[in-house]
Amino acid sequence: MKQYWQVLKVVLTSRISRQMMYRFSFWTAAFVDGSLFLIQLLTFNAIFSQVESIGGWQRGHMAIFVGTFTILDAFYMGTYFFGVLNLPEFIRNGQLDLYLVKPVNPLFLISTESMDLGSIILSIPGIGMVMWGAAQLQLPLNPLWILGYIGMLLLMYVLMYCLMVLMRIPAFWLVKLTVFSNLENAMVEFSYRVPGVMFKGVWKFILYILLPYGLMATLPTQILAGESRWTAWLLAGGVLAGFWYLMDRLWHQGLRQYNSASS
Amino acid sequence: MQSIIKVNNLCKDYTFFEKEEGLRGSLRSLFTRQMQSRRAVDDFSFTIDNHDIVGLIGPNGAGKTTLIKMLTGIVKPTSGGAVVLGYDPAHAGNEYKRRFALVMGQKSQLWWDLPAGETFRLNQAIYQIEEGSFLKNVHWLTELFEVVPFLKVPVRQLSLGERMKMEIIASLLHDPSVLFLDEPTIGLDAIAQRQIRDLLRQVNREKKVTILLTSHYMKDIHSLCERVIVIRQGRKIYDGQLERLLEQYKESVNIHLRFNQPTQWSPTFSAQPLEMDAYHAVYQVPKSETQRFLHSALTACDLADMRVEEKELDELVETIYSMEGETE
Repeated sequence: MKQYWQVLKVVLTSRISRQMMYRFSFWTAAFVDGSLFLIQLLTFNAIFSQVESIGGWQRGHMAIFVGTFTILDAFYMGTYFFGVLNLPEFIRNGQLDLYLVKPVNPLFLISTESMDLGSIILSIPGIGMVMWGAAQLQLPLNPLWILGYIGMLLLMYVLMYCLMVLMRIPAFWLVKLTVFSNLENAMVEFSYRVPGVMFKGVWKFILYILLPYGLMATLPTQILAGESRWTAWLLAGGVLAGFWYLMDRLWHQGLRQYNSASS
Repeated sequence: MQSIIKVNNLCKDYTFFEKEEGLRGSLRSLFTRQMQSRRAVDDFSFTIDNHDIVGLIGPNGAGKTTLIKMLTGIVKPTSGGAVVLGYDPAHAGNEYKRRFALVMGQKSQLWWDLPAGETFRLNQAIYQIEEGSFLKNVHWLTELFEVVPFLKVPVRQLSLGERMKMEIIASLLHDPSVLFLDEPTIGLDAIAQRQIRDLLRQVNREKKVTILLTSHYMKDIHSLCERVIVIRQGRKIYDGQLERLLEQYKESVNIHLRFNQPTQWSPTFSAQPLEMDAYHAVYQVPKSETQRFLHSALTACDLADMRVEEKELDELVETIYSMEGETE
């Protein structure tokens, strides 16, 4: 564990120094993500100027939902997103070789070494929006509730990681992964806008269990709003355990048949 | 001397599918595929003693890199096995990975946008190198490789030679017992190649690192390795002293003849024509026959010029690669 903390510390330090060297990139990331947040905010306002509630959720719930997704997005974009994005290319061109010979989990190294810390700044308006939503709902927040919310956010952060990696592991067997990245983009965009409470029946099963993007911001919002406490934890824990197991199995399966690219 | 690399009947098959040309072939391959298997490494065995530098040579696609990838655990063998430093690379974990290093001339472990020192620090964390030992190694290696002035320069701004030196330094920081080098001088100019060779020799001598080296540059092999393993189409065709191998193939010379007038001359003994036109011919002649050949040529032809040439190192190796069967 000490080794992993030290690797993370070096990666963090070097990424900060890299981003200080290339200042334009630093602000570009923040600008692009900030624009997406503004678009989301405009959509949110447009919807709530027409309706009073969505799937039983009021304006306050939706503010927490959008804010939560923004925080989640900021953190995964700022940490593992760009690293995981490199994975298929590393598998295809054999760059993975150099990670496989290091005495550290190669997936951890690949995922963390392209951190883009500029994106994390965007979590600030996200947090602001969550606080505004909580105030709107007049939630009796206490440290335990907030801790629960952060804990659920962490679970969703890890679940998002599993889904991202799973969408890229097929590179061990397939040449083009466009269909997977298209599916992922569509799912993220959809679940950024539509809260999980709106899904019923088979759609709920698909978006909560099979492609659990629907859980991402919905469960932390429910925890903060004091709704479905234990079921939410059970659902999050079960889905995360299942996807972590699947990711681990497929990753090792892929490595077993990895032939590397000829040099 | 103790053997630290033992390879026993190692085989590696790659499977792939064949696709016919054109749209019809593409459509057909959607439904039926002809799977083919190619043996990249075939029944390969050898041992390497501690502190040796051994060259692994062979033409493109011979299986050199695949062999190194199996010894480092990157790819799994189809059959056979290897033991390196007491570990089976196909199943070894991080303990084994801490004991060797791999440098690939065509792939970089350095962070492109940052000075190489940042990658050194990353390797310190990955290999859990104690601070004192890390600083000592960085100091020794950067002085030795004469790259101290470039330590603060982003890798992207270094020359290819400087970058390769940094790659080798990064791979030596954890004091590996075995260093696998796959084409470390590829693309480098003659000066940088020579520097890298000198440095590797010094590292081998002072750090007692066992080195297994592949290179297409015979000068690398000739100046670093007393022993070579020649691989062709996945099979070992020679394993022994480099000089002895070269001597076997130095038994002939090339004789260039230029004629004053169009000539068609065929020597009556064992000279092989390599090139021939009306005014010019090149023959490969056994050394023992040189005098007889020259006398015969002077008598039979109206010569404008003649030249006797020993084979270049690369040419010798080309001959070795093209020989059938196993070289003794």
